[in-house]
Amino acid sequence: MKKTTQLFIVLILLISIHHELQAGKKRNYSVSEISPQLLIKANSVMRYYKETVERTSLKSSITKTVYAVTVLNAAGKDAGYFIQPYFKYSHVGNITATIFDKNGKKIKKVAGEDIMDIATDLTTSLYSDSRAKLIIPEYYDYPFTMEYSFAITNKSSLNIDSWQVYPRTNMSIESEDFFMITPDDNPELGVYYYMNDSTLNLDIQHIDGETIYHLHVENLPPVRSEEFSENLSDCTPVVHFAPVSFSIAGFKGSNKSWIDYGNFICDLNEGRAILPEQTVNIVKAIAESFNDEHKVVDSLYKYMQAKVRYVSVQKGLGGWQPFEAKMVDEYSYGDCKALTNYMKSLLLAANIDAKYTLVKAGQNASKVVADFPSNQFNHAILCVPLNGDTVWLECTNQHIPSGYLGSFTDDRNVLVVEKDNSKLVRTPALDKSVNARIRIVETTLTSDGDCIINLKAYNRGVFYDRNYHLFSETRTNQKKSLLEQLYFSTINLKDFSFSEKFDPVLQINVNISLAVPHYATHSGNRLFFTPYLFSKETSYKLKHQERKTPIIIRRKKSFTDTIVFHLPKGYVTGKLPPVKECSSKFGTYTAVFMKEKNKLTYIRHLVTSKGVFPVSDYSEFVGFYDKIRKYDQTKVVLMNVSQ
Amino acid sequence: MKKLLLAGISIMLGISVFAQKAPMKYGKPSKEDLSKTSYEIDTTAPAVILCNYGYFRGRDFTFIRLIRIKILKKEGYSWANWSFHTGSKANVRGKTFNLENGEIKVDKLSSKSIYREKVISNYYLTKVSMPNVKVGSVIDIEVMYNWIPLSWYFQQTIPVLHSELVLERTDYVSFSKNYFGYVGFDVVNPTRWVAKNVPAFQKEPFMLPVNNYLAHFENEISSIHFPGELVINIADKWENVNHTLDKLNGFGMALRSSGGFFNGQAKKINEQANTDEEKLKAAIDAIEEMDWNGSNRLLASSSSLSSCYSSGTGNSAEVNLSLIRLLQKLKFKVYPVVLKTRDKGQLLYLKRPTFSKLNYVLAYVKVDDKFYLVDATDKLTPYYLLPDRCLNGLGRIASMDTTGWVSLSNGKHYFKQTFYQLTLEPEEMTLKGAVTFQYKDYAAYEKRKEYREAGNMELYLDNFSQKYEGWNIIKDTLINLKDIYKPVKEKAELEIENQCFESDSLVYVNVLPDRLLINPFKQEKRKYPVAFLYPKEFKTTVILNVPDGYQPYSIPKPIHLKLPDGGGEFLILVKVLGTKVVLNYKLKVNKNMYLQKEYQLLKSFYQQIIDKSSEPVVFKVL
Repeated sequence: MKKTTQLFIVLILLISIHHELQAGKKRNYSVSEISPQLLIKANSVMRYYKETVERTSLKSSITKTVYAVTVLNAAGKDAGYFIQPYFKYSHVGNITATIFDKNGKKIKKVAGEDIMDIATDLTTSLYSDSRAKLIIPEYYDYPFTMEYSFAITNKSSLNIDSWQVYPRTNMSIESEDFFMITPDDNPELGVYYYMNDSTLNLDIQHIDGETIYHLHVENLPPVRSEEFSENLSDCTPVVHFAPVSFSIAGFKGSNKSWIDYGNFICDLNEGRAILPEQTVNIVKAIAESFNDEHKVVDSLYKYMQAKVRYVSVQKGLGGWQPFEAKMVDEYSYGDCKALTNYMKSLLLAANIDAKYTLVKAGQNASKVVADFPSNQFNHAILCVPLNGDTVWLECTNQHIPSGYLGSFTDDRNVLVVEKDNSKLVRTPALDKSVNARIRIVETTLTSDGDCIINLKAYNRGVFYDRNYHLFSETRTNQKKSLLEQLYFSTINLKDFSFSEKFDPVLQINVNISLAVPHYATHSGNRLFFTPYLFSKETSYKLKHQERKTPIIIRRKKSFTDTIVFHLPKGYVTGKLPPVKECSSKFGTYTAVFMKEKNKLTYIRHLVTSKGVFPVSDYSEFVGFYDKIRKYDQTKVVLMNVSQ
Repeated sequence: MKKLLLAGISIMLGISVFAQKAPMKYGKPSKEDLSKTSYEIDTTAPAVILCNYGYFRGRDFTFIRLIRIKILKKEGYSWANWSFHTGSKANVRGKTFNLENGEIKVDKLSSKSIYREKVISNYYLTKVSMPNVKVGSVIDIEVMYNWIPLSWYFQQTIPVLHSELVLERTDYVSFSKNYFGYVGFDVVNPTRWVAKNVPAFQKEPFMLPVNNYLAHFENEISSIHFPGELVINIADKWENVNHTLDKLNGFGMALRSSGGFFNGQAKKINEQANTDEEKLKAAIDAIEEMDWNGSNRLLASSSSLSSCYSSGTGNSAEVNLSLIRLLQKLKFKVYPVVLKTRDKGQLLYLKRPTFSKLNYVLAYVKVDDKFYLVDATDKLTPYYLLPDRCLNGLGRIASMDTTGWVSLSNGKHYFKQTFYQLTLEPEEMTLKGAVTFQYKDYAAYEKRKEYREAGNMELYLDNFSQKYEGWNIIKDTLINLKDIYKPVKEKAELEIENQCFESDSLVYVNVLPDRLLINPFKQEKRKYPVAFLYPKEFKTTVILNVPDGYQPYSIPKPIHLKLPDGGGEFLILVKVLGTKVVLNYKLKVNKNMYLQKEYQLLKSFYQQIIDKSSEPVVFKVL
């Protein structure tokens, strides 16, 4: 080693020791040392955090972390737990945990046998090697401080953990330092980075042969979760890293471009598309019965849906590499990767070229950062480009029609994988047709106040999306799910049925007959009730409070309810309430009351807009929904004139 | 000679290794099973267990499970995945049978679909996922492992046509069995139990807690105790249980240890406290210097209670046994009472003890002529309140001097008193004003717990303001939160919407802002008793000022209902004096357990409460 190098290393060591000492000086964990502003609305405080990540070879890296959290009260006890996930290619070691009381006095070190090793993917996967080290400190004299230190050795560099300034809500931050070190002599061992917050001060130094990235933050108040907002990792500062090149279980890849990353996926999937001869024959027979490629895709999709079921197994490289198609064929199960690869193989046997596609799935998933090629995905679907259009296939569901992408995967950038030609493409939005919920209700009100209801509901767009799971549920769960959407407190369900229709648009039509006892209330010879039967749906009050994040409404929706009440014999309506209406940039609302002989008709129409609205609009937002809530509660009084 | 010959022939023909004939033969489902598309027992079932067989082989402690399942619908596919708590080794085999064009197609379970997983320390799961499962498939699974079965479930969340358990005798272990539940089964002989045509289990509200049945991968792990469970245990008489406990390091030995240490503690207390009650409170305070680590245990982890105490934390046994020891040194008459916590099911009157299920111990102490059950794990419980997890039927005195059953309750109830002072705002049609709550005994405990869960006033208010529909809380103060021997008071300023509306020059006002809206008892019939934690009493007074010009038009008639045998009482009385409306409300639910036969009365009692509470006072506006 050169002398200058040695000198620099000593310098770095001195700097870090100094830093340690400084931190050591500051590392008085007494609660009285915490600045009072950091205690406001906080259940925990991150006193000190230091993480250093170092890439040491193409596949390996080491992360060393020390941090201390003060748990202020029982509601913040989760913040004092230590949970460090790992899997086949990573190892967590050198774990120490120390408990300090409110005065900063050391109480004890947690014994090695109290460090638990648990499986973390028990309910979603049949088998998964996702595990975690877990420590739950046995100390309850709040406030107290936990100091943890540990090291992670990674034998796969596919993913590099991002730096998240706020690990949780209701936690204030006293001081955090993040370091990333990469050797300059091998550009493949470098990293790309992306920050979701341009005000973050990421310091980058080149100190003799190494690039050192450093982020320091301090004295940050806690964030709280807000409704209609982004995920915590989207609306708080995060630095994402991606390795320039990486290696996992002997497979190499690069994040230089989406094409490079896509080629890595191609390598993983290569040679896994072979089907048994019998299946190939079936596929060819199906393919030959249709002229139209769309019909072939549709038929083969249905064939796949009937043949297999979804079972998740995430073992080692199997977390990224699909099972071989012949294995899926034999066992008739697989996870999203295996089933997508299987479907691709079926289509290949029919001479249709389909592309394995990676998705960041989830109803409220964060966006894929387009100019940051890296592993941002958690799901696989199939892209089938045909003459004139593209058919997208979700291969893990036994029921949905071919080409249907629901809120899980719609309207987002996905990576369509193809050798030397992978690219980001946008999936179509599910609300091409309007997201509409239309309900037509006939009810009979008895003189006892009971309400006998026959309801027909038409669920389109996102409302179809919320309900298609019914087709795979047991009858008990179907009943539970449908009734939950009605928000009644007490009901006697008589019967229900539902069906899927494609005309005029894809929808699920539901028929429910039920009785709500004591829906109307007596008062002398009067009977009164709320015509909007489902008023509990809007009874939730939004908080009138200071808001920090913009309001995000992802989809435009339309709700129409036509409710006809057949009045009990001898009862008439008095003066009916006038039309209720209100409108704002968030939507429009009208409710109308009409009478005709012995019928009362109530029609409600609400349309809510889609958009990202600034924080300053929040009081208008709350005001709009406050009005709707009030109008939905409007009552109608019936008088008994037969006496 | 004949027997030998028969045995010999059996072995040669490879017939069953079982001493008694098993109800099913592995790998040989009937054609009828394969072709059937629904079963009478429940035509909506997504799957049916045709046979669930367990055989404990006494000579080598092997437990053999044979299961045959029929998949009837796609939603039943999850019943093709099974999870067994087996220890690190198990022999598994399985077959999926499908009828294809009249032929039986068989797919064997491959070793690739069998996973052994260490969940945490010594706790292993063997999981299987059967191949090629379709609607109509019949699945056979056989699992063999070293095990002494501690419980067997006749009932599942899908119907079971045949459930059978055979426990062979062995010299080394004697079983005593206790049965819980409402499903009939036959004791064919002392080693064999059979239940046929067991309907699927349905959960009802207000049941004693049952662990979540619907997560299949967990139903082999958790100990579900209420219906359909046969509990097998290794113990015989309660007297023997007491003897065993007495000898254990973590129990009897612990209660004889650390004399010097607790003597020292007792001396300090005797210097400050004079009466029994003062001494008891001081003893609890001293023990509560220790923090409970959240774990429910019957036994301390060592016999040295003083070292536990010095460490600062302990499990529930370490805390309560220390309390008992200290109370002994303070010359109280005190005994340990052992029990099962509520989440594990009740310890009913059992002739044969269930030693392995006991998981908690309390102090049973005489204070001024009355015995109290005392727990020192929760700093929020005064000595006369037991935490919810202990309110579980009966406990057993575990002492060498005396024995017997003890009701797990100190006779304390939940009391909530509310006083509203409100004004009707005619413009907004809201009720505005102030409310004062007073919470006593269990009501105070619940309120203190609510605050502790929230952590601070802001989060507490977030939760509290969602509790009643239409409430907008402007200001809220909690008083006496810290002194657990005092009731908790809460004062709030609020505005309530949706309590009154105008129609046709009449104003309808619902004077009771926190009335019960939902009848918790919706079902027609009830299979299981209704189990509340404790009796409750609510008293409310509302004074509502209405604007001048409001003339009373219709006032609800008073009502006074009573349940038989002092089971409960309900009263509402409304008066209008000038522009003041005064409402008095009282509700008492006096028992914590109502039997199935009382269900209809209870259901209609609640319905009348709801109906009557929703009757408005109607005013004519001049």
